[in-house]
Amino acid sequence: MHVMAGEKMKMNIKRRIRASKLGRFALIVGLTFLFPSPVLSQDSDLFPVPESYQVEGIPPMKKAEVEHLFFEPGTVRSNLIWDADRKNRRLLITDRTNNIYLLSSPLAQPEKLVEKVVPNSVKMRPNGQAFAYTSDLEDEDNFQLFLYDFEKKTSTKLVTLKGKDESIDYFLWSRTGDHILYIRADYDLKRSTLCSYDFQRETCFPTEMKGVWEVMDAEGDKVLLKYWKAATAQHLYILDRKTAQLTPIDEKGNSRGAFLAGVNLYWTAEGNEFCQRDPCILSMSLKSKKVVQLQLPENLLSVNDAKISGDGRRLLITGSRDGIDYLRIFQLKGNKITDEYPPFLPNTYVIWHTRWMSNNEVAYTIENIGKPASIQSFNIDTKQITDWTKEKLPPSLENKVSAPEVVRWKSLDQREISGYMVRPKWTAKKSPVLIDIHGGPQILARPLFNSQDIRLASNLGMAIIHTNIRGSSGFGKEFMDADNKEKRNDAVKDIRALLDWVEKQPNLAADKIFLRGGSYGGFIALSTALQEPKRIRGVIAEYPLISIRGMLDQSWVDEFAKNEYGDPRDEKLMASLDELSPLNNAGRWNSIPLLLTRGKLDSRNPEKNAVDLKNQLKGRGGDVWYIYSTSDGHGVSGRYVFAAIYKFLKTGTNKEN
Amino acid sequence: MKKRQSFFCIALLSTTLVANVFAGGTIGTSTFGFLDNVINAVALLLRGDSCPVRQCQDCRPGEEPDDNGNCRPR
Repeated sequence: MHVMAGEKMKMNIKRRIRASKLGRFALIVGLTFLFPSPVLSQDSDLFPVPESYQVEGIPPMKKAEVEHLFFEPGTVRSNLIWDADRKNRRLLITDRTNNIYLLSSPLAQPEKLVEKVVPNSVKMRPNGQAFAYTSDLEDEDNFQLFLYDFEKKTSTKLVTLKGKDESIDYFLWSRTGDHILYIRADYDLKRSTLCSYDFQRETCFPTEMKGVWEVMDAEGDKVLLKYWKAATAQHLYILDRKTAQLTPIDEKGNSRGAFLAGVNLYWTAEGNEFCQRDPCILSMSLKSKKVVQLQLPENLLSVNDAKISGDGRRLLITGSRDGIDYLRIFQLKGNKITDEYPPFLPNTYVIWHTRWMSNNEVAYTIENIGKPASIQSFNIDTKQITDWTKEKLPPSLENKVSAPEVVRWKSLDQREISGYMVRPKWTAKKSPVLIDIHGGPQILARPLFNSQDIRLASNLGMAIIHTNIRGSSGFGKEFMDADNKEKRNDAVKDIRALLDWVEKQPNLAADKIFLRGGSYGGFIALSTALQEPKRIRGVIAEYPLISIRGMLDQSWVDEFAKNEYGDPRDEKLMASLDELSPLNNAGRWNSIPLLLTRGKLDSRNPEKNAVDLKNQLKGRGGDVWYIYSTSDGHGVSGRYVFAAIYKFLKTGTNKEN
Repeated sequence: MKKRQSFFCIALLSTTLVANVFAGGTIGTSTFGFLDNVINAVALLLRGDSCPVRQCQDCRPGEEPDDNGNCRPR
């Protein structure tokens, strides 16, 4: 028994030892799982920073904090037109990816043809067998010319650029489609050369053209060219291909759009002896050189675009009033407008990318703040509207914002400035305000579909005011020139006056105003914050222009840029412009939080300016959120950037005064 | 036994940690690859007919396939 008891005891001890070993093992295994688990949860809980980004000062963002901002790509559809294939009644279209798709018939499944090259311009060959496009994927800001062949289903690079800083910014097909005309712009040597490529060899014209030129149209031996002297001095010329002689057409007015139709040349003009103000369309016979002004209807307030049908019998005009567009079609006899076709679109859309599909059918895109872009066509003879694509919107974005409101305010010099405001549909209290300043500055903000606006309005209760301050297009020559050179600070004053306007609005929170601007808009946002140390809660400057002196020092800068910003040799002007920038004026920056982005490949503005600004503000204890992308150029965007913007605004709106 | 246990522990620990390192990149990214934003606010910054390509064009969708920056066909 004792023996038995002793044996049992030994076995129990062994079992205990074994149990204890198992326990230790279990403990180690448990600890193994326990210790790394917080690390695991930390990493997987955080919104990932893209590998190509280097970020500073941005607090880690939890996925749970921002993932509700995003949605599956398949739940939204927004389509735009690249070009029309008139021969086969089909369209080249794109979507949010900027790929090139073929839409063979209305509401067909788009077929992806070209991806990831981010084309700047796509133009169909008249016979419908190929299309050409430009892309700067290989070298930022240096566009190259490619041809896509429908039969071979491949793209081929057509021209080799050898210059130090050369780019094909503009091209077009000849009427017959047997060659392509394009401009080789050499930004280093400050000259443009007109060339043609007939799929065997390149031929360049010896005509000397200083600065940046655009090829606008060609018919027979005549090539219509535009010289981009300044935003309000766009001059027209005809080049005779036989003699290579360049003949001026309009060197006084501002000629934004122009085309050739048979023996006539048409152009939109402002400020010459025939047309003092927009809207104005002139026609000139190439034979007699006689110029006639088209008699436009009195209720046509502006001309954004004008296109003539292939048979020259119909004229399409798009224009806008308070951000809402109209598309009107007129009968044309000779060079006279004889009648107008009844309107067929409600006045609730921004209209884009009009194309004549045939002599009696027009294709276009429509969109507005709550409706992604879709493509339609209208048959003038049958009066039938055909949907080519249908938009789609995720429920999380539906019905979240009110219709955009036009906002007008008086600037410090009593000039009327305008913009439009997007507001959340439901809000119980005063809305924080995000003032958005567009780049350019010679462009116009219009109420397009904008999912970021919808998400910021619905998630943060923000009112977003998109501004068209002086310098914007769409308000005439004088307005566009009103910020040039020594008048730059007047554009800043436009935003400062908007702060006064916001203060008077009962449902806007004047103590929670944020500024956002990209490129040139970033400069105005930074300068406003420098001059308004107490009224701005935060600044989002996306790949901004930081120093005008620094920008003008770049080798690409041409006469167009100098006409806008000034002569860099004018030290007095440069010194006054330096005063507008927080760079080297960090002592005047009142610790306003700043979110700053910069792309490594950005050659428009010096990287040193961005780094110096960031370091100067941080050196003074400033709250700087910095995103540096090693894979982007002049334009840094993506989910992480938007998540950071959301977090930045959320933090700012929640902060007590 | 000890050797087997410690080998097992080290292997388990290593696997967990290595998986964790990759998790930060691959799992996180792939999860959010399905959660996308669409049209960027800077879509408003339109290339107009008052500005040449190099002055105003900043169409840069970047690496995100869902983000079209201010890319608008001319």
